[in-house]
Amino acid sequence: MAAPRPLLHLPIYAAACTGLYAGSLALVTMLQAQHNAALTLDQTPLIDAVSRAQAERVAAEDAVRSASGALGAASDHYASATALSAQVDEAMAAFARQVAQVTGVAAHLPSSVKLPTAPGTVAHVTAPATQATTGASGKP
Amino acid sequence: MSRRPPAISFAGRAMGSPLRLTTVGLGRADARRAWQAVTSDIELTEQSLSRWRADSALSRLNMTAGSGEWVPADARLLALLVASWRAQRMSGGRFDPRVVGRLEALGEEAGVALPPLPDELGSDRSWLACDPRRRLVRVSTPVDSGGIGKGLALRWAATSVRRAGLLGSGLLLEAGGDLLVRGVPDGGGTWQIGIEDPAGGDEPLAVISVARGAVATSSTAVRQWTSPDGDRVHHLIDPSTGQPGGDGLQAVTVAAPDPAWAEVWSKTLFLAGTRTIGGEARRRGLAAWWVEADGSLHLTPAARQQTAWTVANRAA
Repeated sequence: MAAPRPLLHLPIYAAACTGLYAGSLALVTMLQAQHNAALTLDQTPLIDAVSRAQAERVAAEDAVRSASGALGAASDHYASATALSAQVDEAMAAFARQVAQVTGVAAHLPSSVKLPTAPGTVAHVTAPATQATTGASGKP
Repeated sequence: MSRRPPAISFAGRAMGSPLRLTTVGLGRADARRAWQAVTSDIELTEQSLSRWRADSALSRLNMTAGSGEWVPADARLLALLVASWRAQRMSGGRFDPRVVGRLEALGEEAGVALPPLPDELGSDRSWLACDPRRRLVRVSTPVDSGGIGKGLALRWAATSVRRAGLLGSGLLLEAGGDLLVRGVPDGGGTWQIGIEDPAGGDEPLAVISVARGAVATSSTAVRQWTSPDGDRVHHLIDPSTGQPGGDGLQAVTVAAPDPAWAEVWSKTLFLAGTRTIGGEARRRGLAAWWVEADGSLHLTPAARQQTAWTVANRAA
């Protein structure tokens, strides 16, 4: 009759099971880490694009702010030019009134005035002295 | 107080014409050096551009005309050819350096013998080909320096005087009726230049004031002769007809900053004739005086500003 197996084998089995479990856990962890790394790598261009879009949006906002400022300044200039134009318009109207008055006065003046005859130029009877003469050239 | 040196004049002959230099503000030794600078420079121009010297660069070029041969060109010959080409373009073809053949056919005294000449000049400007980098040129027909060469000679001679530091306070350089002034005349003011009466009168038809620049005249008062056909002809040839041009005109004077262009424009306006000279001169803004066949003097608005006296004052 065979002797009963000693209970000493139980710890060995337990140790083996524990080792197997630990190995499985390590393998799963490693596969998980690899998958995460691949996923991160795949997402990098997308993240970059999002970052670029954010930066461009900030720049566009700056440009809009700047254009808005310029528009405001131009608007101010236009307002002041309009005021100046109104002043010029008023001055022109006043000048037109003065011209109308002068025209009214001028209508009573004679159309021509006879002046005494006077020589228009001082005539040189002979040609003034010259340093040289220009004329026909070529083989004499 | 030192006394300012008076005007000193020298006279000689060059380019078949009288040559005269008047200096102001130079001592006698410096004035003589200025005269030597002028005569030396004009001799260089004649060595390059004379149609009457067989060994000139221009004559050597003309001997190859139409052969397709590239010929080395010195700086003056290159300047003449390029300026002539440009003048032809600017004048709408009225200025044309190729009329030398027509002049000789009409019986003008010939220079160095030329190769066979075409019957018609044509209006294109392909007669000149240039390789400026290698300073080579090629012409399809013989060309002449007349109508621009004397102006270039005056320009270069004045430059040589200036480079020598001998301009003094004033300078007047004359070559056969064309002239150039710089600075002021003796006694100050502006240079007073008479316009010759082409009919031969002793008194000028007008006196003009020139502060700085050049004056040139194209006239039929000289260089008239009887052609082999028995016609009375002159040297101002219209390239479009091959015959003497300038209907109804005796002389045209132009004042301009540069003597070569004063010469070009006086010839161009002369060939316009009485019908179009006024409009053309005004359109180009030229200071021009012209004498018509009846002896009457006409001028442009720009010329009026420079006119100090005319025969009309004498009549008054």
